[in-house]
Amino acid sequence: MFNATVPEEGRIRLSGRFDAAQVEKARAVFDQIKDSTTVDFAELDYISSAGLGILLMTQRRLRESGKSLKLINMNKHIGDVFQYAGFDRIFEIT
Amino acid sequence: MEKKFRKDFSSLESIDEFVRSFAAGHALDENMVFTLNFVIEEIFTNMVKYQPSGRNDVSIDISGDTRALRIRMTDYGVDYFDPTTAPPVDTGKPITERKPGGLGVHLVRKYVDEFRYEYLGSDSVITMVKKLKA
Repeated sequence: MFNATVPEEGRIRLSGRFDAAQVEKARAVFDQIKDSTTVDFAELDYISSAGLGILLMTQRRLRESGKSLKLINMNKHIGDVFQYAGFDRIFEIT
Repeated sequence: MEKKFRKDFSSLESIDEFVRSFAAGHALDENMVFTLNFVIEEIFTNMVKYQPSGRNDVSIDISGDTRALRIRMTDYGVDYFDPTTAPPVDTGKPITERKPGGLGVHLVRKYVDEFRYEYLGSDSVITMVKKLKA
């Protein structure tokens, strides 16, 4: 089961499976972001291109005002997806 | 191992269970579970988004041996739609020029060794082959 929670200001915690069925749920959280934010992937097991799309559009919107998303604690599988998509050049990933 | 799924995003959870069931029976690791889930979801969601006219279920058939896995997905009673001819995505573009569209098929090509389309009667059939390391 997918979840996107905001444990504190400037931080989003993702968990479960971020697939195409979760886009609206995720968008409701990511559309609220106005400042630079750290997205914690530690409990996220899976992401597809639908999830990548939400992150890409959020990053584009934030960059217009000089802000950005920082992505942390990705597992290897998800890290590979970001690399194949070229998203390791679009996001700060640590 | 074959199963039919309702052509709706809500089927993705059952597809994950189906993949895990196949993986358990074939001693596949979590890396392969991720790959199977990923390529199947990308093709399945393409069928949901771009062929909504077909109301029939989508069939997913996974088979294989120690050398390779074969995934065959059939979308029944739909128009011709060949995602294997989608243009490549330029992943080096700056963020202002990047769009989410087309990324799914681009990533499928990264994960599988064969990616084929057939239009049989009125059915769209996608076949993907993933080689396994010896």
